[in-house]
Amino acid sequence: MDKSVERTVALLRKSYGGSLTADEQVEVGRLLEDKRMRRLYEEMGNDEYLAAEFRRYAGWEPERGYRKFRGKMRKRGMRRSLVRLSVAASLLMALGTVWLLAEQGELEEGRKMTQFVVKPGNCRAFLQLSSGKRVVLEEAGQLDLYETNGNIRIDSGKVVYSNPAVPEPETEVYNTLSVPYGGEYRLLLADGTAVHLNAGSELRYPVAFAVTERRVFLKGEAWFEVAKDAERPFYVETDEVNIRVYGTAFNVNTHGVRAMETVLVSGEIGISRAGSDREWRMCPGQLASCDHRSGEISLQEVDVRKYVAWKNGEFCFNDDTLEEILEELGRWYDVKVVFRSAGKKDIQFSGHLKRYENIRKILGAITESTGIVIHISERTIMVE
Amino acid sequence: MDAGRILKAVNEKDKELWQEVFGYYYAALCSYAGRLVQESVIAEDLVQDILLYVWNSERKFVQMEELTNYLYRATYNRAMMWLRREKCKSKHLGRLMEENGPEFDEMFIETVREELLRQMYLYIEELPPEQRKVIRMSVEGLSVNEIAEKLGISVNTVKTHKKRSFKQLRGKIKGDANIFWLAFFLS
Repeated sequence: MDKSVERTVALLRKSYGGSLTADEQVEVGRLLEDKRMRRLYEEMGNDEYLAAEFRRYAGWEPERGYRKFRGKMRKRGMRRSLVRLSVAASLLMALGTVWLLAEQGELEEGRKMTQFVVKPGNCRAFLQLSSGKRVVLEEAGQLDLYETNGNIRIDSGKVVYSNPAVPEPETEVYNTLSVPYGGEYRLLLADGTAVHLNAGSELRYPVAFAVTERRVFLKGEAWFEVAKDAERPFYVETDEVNIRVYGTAFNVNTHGVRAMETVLVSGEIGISRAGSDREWRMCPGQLASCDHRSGEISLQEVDVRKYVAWKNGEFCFNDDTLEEILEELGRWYDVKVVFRSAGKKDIQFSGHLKRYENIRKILGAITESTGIVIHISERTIMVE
Repeated sequence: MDAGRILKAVNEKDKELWQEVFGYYYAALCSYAGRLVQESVIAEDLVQDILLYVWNSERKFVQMEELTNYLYRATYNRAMMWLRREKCKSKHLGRLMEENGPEFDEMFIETVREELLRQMYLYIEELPPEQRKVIRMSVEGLSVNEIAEKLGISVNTVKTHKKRSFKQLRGKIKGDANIFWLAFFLS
């Protein structure tokens, strides 16, 4: 590298901090003659850009990376029992701040919540253990649970599975994570597959996967980043289709008004109707729609960003009908949608909105651009 | 986390310190690889492989700069190798080259970008506690109002903290942490 990265970085930071010497100023001026360097400089000067980048960083937790790495070190014959012991001890101590509530407690909690103004969703969910016990998961706090075949850690909006001692479980034990309307939750399965469950969705999965295959059952919408494992194919089953995964990232949504939708962002998946062997192979950038009524599957090229925007905290609508848009908002804000005249349902609308915004703001934007009057009361959106 | 410990971990394969190498580089390298291969699972695998390679290699690094450059370069090369191998991705690779001209300059700019982000990200830890909380929450995507409510401080304070913190992250260079604390109390 003829130019030094370190030198350039130091100069740019000094420039942001306003502590450049005259000579350095000239040097920075020369750097910024390059159009791409100028763009970089501007982007880095933008608070929101930094916040978004840091959000990406937060997804690569060093601790998790290190744990994974340790497994690989061990494979090469470097046993580190001491570290494993100390980790086990800290797992035991971390018990605490997440509440365990009986069914009745949950109901009361639910009632209390409805008294507030309509708010966007947040991280909350219910986890059903193999014993049938239901655990309420909140946005904050940490909790460790022990299951047959594995351990579960719940930490700031995320459920993480690990199965330390049982690499080949004899019986499959299932857990179910349900996310109510107005919620979302993340999940890291025992094989390292990451799942982000959207509002009003449910995933059933084994605590530890079988030796021959990995199979999960979905209702609703979820984003999957499947860990590669050539020997154990990964399947997502819904009421309507089966998806076979070959190591990949994709979004499945059974909520669609007319059809169930699967969007592939990268990798390769095969999709088939429930109970059928015929498989459609999907390429990245494609959408597979499975018509709710006829059950027919069709493939088309789409802009995938629109379908996965939700997991980045955005709504992205592109010529969607008002019915589709309000259905989605309704799931996220946990409100019912009523159309006084059916004719309004098919009006199309495009736009980019923040998921964590107040719903009035979003509805206001729709009214402003379409002239449609929308009323919102405690738990209902009324389209006049 | 200081440079001496990181170099010691890498050069002497110090198991206890090796975890700090992750704290120092992991997110940045994954993000860097992710920009190139556009697939986070693959990105993470690539970075794991590189770190494992470093762990098993005899190579010694005298300066942090050397190590940092080495890691970015290795990540870039591996990502390119992966892209070339992956048939489905050839379209993306073509686009990458086409839009941005010669590979080399693109790598330089992207490395500067990632290294800036990495340094700023680490610096969050050195912000005064309240500012740090505000930054963490805004990184999580909370609005100014929500942060104010959660921390029980005024919206204006949140705004000031946010603005000031981002400014500090950009402009303060690791090492002058003391000066920065003083500046904070004086302002």
